[in-house]
Amino acid sequence: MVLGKRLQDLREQAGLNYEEAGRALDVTHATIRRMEKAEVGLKLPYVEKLLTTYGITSAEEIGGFLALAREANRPGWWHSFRDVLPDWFSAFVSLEGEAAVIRAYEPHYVPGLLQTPDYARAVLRAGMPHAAPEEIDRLVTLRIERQALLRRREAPPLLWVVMDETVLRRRIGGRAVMRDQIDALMDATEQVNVRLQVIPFAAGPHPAMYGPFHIFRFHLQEIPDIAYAESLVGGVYFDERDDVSTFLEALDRMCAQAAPAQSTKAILDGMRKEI
Amino acid sequence: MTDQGFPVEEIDTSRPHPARMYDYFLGGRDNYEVDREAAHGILEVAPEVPASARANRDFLGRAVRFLAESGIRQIIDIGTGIPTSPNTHELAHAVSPEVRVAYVDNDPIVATHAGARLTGTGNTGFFLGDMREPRTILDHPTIGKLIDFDEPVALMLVSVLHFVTDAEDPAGMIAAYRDALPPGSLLVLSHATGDFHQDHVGEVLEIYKRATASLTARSHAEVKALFDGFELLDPGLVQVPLWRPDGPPPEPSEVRRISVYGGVGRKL
Repeated sequence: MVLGKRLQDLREQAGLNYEEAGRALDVTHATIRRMEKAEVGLKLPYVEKLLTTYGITSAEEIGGFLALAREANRPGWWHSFRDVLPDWFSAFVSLEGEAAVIRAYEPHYVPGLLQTPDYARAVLRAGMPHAAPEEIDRLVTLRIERQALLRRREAPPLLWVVMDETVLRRRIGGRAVMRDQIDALMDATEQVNVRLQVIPFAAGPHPAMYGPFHIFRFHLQEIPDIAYAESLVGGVYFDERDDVSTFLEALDRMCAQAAPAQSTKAILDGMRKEI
Repeated sequence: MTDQGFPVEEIDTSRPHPARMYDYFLGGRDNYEVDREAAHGILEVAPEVPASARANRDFLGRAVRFLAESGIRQIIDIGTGIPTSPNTHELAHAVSPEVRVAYVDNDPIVATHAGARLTGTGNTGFFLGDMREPRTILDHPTIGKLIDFDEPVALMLVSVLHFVTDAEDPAGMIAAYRDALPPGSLLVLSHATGDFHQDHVGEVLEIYKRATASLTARSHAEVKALFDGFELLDPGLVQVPLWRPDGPPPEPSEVRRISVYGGVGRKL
């Protein structure tokens, strides 16, 4: 997805439309569009031809891009979950795995990357009242496997989340599940690559009361930040700078309004005692 | 009031902010439309500003390495700005993982970024404070935890003093910090100047007047005077690319329009 976006930027910089790019490869404009939208795998000879068509001449740059494309073409580990994973969400899992920084605002529940299995099960069950128990089990497994990225050896991402106080007040899965979940969050605050902030009710209104969103930032400087917002039936991705800036500004303001991360553990401890 | 200790109304994202403009000049993403507009206004009259910003950042890198190699194990970095890798503690830790760094900035948005991104290890800390109030900074609990005033300290004022007006008495401010530091402590200072841009410095200052902090460009003599009580180390106060370059000395054409002076002084 990220490489597709990069191909699109390069094509636009070169001043070519889909048809013109397609002609260089002897393929239809739709093929180019699908490559950019990551709806098809990236065939390496195509990619190489496109890069030269777009005026990229540095062997190093082309080689680097092809290496990334080779990597991107390897089916992600989550492909084995495609029976339960909608397409719009597999893109999310892919971005999450590639990100250097994952920022999020979560007004309703603990973010997926920090959920305990029991808590995840309760959230999923509430969200999918018609799902079979086996499907819920699969989704719980997927969610827990996603969490491995926070502990991976090589360049684990920084996860920086602002949670609304509601998250801690809404009892999901019952008292014992909630207590375990808060314990898990307290442990998470000790991880070097996790920053958790709680925005208390007392902080008043803030710019994103309409709902949750994520912002992904990548190691590669050329790849733009991507914001993601979700509804019941799908997710929307934003990569235009002005759109992303609006999310960024809203989140920055919320982070400034929220209690600083150093105090999160004490806040969680206080909330846990009230459950 | 928020839990961070300032009123929510003080979070002003409607006007351009120098730290976010600087982030934009360095190719960062933590800036908003209003900052980019102001930055473009500056680029139109002073296209060399991003080069100055990068040169200033490189100066910071070489200066921190010098500090750590000189045996300094504690740093107060005032005017942190939006984190740009490598940051002060990363640079210092590459020489010695024991170096402790206290970061300070006065902007709530900068504070959120610095707090989240610079404090992953036990020997770094960040707090929100105004350099114009040396006492509240020196007495802050985070300083108490990280800095031992019986051992030499490095005080970093990199690209921040030009946001202090003459009326706010920058010399008096530095003196207050200096008096708290033991002999052998180091001052790392860089500062914007108009010495090389008499043609358009006025226009640049005009744009910063509409930002949340106005800019006072100072001459070589004025910046040098800020080192009062410190002995300037070689090569003195120079345009930042000329301060102990890593490789061969930079070409005069690269240096010509770099509008930042930098130097390191040792407290006598």
